[in-house]
Amino acid sequence: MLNTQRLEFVTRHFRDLQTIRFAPIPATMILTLVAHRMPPVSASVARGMLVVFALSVAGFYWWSTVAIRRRYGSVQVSREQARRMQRHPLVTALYMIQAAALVWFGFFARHTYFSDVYISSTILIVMLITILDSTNLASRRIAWAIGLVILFTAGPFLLDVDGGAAIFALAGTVWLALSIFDFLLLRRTFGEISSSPPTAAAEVVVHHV
Amino acid sequence: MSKPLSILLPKPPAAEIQGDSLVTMLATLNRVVHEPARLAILTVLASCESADFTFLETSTGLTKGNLSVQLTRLEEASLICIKKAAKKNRTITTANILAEGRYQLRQYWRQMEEIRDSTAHPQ
Repeated sequence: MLNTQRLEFVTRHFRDLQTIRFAPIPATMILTLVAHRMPPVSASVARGMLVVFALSVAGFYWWSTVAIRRRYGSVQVSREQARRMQRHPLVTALYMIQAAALVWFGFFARHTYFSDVYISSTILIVMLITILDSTNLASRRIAWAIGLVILFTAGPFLLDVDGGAAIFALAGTVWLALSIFDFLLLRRTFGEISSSPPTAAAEVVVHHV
Repeated sequence: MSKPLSILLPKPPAAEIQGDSLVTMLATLNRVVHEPARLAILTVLASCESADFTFLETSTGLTKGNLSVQLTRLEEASLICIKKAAKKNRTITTANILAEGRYQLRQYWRQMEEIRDSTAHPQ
């Protein structure tokens, strides 16, 4: 991979590579497997757990945002650039199929399927946007494709295991794994670019010619 | 009847003609964009709306002093715009590429492609 491509990748996807900031959410999703086996708790304890969860999510998000900004700085990407992949023919087609499926499930099928179809199709589209984006590094596209395959092949078998807790934990594991992978990729890319400043800068010219 | 002068003069070797055109092509390159550090800065800024000083420093691997000098040089050439804002007793410096900067960067890569093609397929 050329340094110009690395520079473009890390600039365009700087925000996408920081999903680690939401880590408490997938971590909690994984913990549902344990929580499922725990005895029922009173309403006040449940409310307290919810408050702790909300505070930990907000606190971790704030702390990690500040830490990343101090270490790596910040970038503003235009709305046009951010929504570039939304205009991909396959993504547009999938949105149309999703809308048609939701209308059909909403009116003619059992209403319980509505949220299942909505959540699964949204996850599929969001993951495909990353996989199809040619400005992403090949390793990131492969990692996300593996995550998508695991989720959609193992997922249907886990739907009824532990009252849905197993599929929740699987989704959390995939989410957390991809977040960690993205953050490590961000660190590695920055490390590679800035390891030898003059050479790294010169490569921009040398490799392109 | 005298022959035209061009026939009498010895033809320069093909490599020399190619060398001359290569030198001409290289001479037309924008020196402000061609400098590796400035090219790296422009590449980053062309991929986003704006980036702050810390991001430019981390992504290009330049030192604070060098980055500051190169940013000033690019601003003087009207390729980028630098904004400074005070926030909690700190000055936040952000830079964004201008339309002229985008044009010059595209033009630069086009010239580089031409040079690569002319060296890869000599006539």
